[in-house]
Parts: sequence; structure tokens; C-alpha cells
Amino acid sequence: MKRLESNLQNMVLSLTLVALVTAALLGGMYVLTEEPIRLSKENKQVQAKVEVLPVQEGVTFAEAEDHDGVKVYRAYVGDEFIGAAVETFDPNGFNGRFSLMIGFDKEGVITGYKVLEQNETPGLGANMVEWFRTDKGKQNVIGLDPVKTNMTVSKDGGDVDAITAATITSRAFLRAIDRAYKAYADQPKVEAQSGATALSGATVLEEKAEAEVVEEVEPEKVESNE
Amino acid sequence: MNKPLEVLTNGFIKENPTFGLVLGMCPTLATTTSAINGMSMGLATLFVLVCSNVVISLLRNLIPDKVHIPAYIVVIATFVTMVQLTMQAYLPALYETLGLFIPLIVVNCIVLGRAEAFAAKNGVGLSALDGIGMGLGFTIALTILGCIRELLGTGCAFGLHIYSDVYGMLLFVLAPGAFIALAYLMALVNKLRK
Repeated sequence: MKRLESNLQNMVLSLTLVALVTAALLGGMYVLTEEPIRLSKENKQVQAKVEVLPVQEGVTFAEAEDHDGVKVYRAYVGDEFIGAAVETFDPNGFNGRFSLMIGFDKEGVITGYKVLEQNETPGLGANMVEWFRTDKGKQNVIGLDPVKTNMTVSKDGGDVDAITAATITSRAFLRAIDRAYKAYADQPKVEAQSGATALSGATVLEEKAEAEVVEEVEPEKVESNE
Repeated sequence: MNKPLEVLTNGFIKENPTFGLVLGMCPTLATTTSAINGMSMGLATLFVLVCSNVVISLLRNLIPDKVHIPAYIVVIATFVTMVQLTMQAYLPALYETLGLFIPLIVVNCIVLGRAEAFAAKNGVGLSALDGIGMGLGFTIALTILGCIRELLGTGCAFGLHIYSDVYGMLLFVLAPGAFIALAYLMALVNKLRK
């Protein structure tokens, strides 16, 4: 068979047909994968929520509270309040926004974290997935109490070791934790005994936040050090 | 000479997309940070290559010359989107690392290049073989490159620790390492081909 001649009718017809058939195929494919895609996203979030908590079994979550984009899921075992999983973020990672899930127990101590989404540099910033939970030097943040610890990198006079050659990412990571803790401490319905801690925590954090305003200008200048 | 066999093995060394034709450098350099990433990218491209080669070979006489490029691109884009959706649904972890580069398979020169240079002139069987050969050549190249970069950069191969990552050369995980490793591999393949 000879190739079709390039006249207007043939061109319009063939292109229309190709477009129609492919559009139909893609539509079908979209419908087929829509459900699994939604499920896998949801799964990941649910898994992360449980994983970062001190207790994994029999956990139920209260309705999410939204604090400026930071979502707090308070967790209960039976009726007992055990802490919360907080979905937090920072818009200024080395390659833009990333999001984390951070767990706190009822005293506000960090019990775990999981990186949900990030685009940091492979081999440098992307190491945050493991770095802040590895027991080495002062890099582990798990078990720290954001009220009692200075949650900034050691370079800025803080108590946490930054990822080697990824200070920007590390600062952003700690800002995200800070954001998460503020949202967590800012709770409307507090258990009697943990209420005091959370409230005093909030005051300390506010002071710290003021101190940080000055700091935040400076990191911009040194951004090339990653 | 055995024609089908020649078509199939053409892409391995002689016209290897990466080392011989030097096509599709963007995904080659960007996705080979680890062996598994390189291999997955190669396999995704392999699938698209075979499918688009077959379809384009079937349609080759039905599409007038003047509009063949848009028609081919639409066909290729369809298969790429299918791969993307499937990956997103069933391999979410992999999709996260490769996500950005999957849509770019559409503009990977190898795919359109083979459609133009081979599938548009040959029958379905041979085109499929060409797609498999080229795709495998690309996959092998990306896997080797990924393996080397992962091993030198992090001390792992396919995620298995070979030596402590304290001795890893970070350079190889980053972009410059991709160029260096690629250049050495290309030199080696050129030597072998002589």
C-alpha cells in the first residue's frame, strides 16, 4: 500500500482519528488508575501518621485541625490522649517546598518523623530522610523536647547537627518541626496535666520565634554553601 | 546475514542509543543516580519504544507525510502517559524519584528517532524487534551508569552496601559525576567497537 497523499482532507482525517483514538485510550486509562492512585496516596499518609507515634497499635485519630496549612491529628488509644501526628512543611527547602509528618507524645517530645514529599538534592539535602533519626553526634532529633532544646543547627548556636553540606535543608527541616510544634502546642482541648506544659511551651516558642526573625534574614546570604 | 537478529542486536553496542547515537542525554544524566533508578527509567523507555514502534509501523501508510511528526508525537505521548499513570498507581515510591522525568520520555530523541528512522519504513515485526533492541541497549547503558555512580557515590549497588558510605564520593551522585562517568564509559565503548 502506498502512503496516503498529503492533501488537506487526508491530513485532517488522519490527525483527527489519531487524536480521537488516543484520547479515548487515555480516558480509559485514567478511569482505571484513578482509584489506585488515590488509595496509594492516602495509604502513605495514613501509614506515616501511625509510624511516627510512640504507640502503633489501636490508635485512633481525632478530626484534623488545620493551623495555617499544618495539619494536627491528635491520637488516642481508647480514650487516652497519647500525642499527635502533625503534617508540616517548609516552603524554603533548598529546592522548594517539602512536607513531613512529625510525631509528638503528650509531653511534646518528638517521637518520630517521616518525609512525605521532598525534592532536595540527592546525596545532600535528600539525606534528611534518614539523617535526623540516626544516632550520631547531635543529629538525632527523636526524643528531643522542642521546649527544652534549642532546635536550630549547631552552626547557628543550636543543639542539632546539620546535614553535612546541606545547611539550608537542615534549617528548613528544623523550621518545619518548629511550625509543627507550634501547631501542636496551640491546642483547644487539652488534657489537664499536659495543658500546663503545652502552654508554657507556647510562650517559650513565641520568644524563640521573635529571636528567629533576625536569623531568617541571614541564611539567604549564605545559601550558596550547600 | 540474519536480518531480524541484526535489527535486534543493533541497539546493544553498534548503535547503542546512549554510547553510540548519543541520544536521550537528559534522562540519562538525570535519572542515573542509582542503579535501580537508571534501570527503571530504561524499562519505562523500553516499553514506550516498543509500543510506539509497533503502532507507528502499523499506521505508517495511513498518515500523510506532512503531518507525520504531530501524529507520531501524539502516539508516543499516549504511551508515556499510560506508563506514568500505571507507575503512579502501582509503584508510588518509584514514581516519586522518577516522576519528573517520565513525561520527558515523550521528547526523548530515541523514541521519535526510532519512529522516524525505522518504524516509518519497516514492517511491524522488525519495528518491534528494533524497539526491543534499542530499549534494551538504553536500559543496559542506564543501569551500568547508575551502578557506577551509586557504587562510587554511596558505596551501594542496587541498594546493597558494598563498602561504607563514608568513603563515597558525593560528586558521583551529583550532576558532574554523571558527565564524568558517561565520558569514561563512552570512551570504553568506542575502544571496544574498534
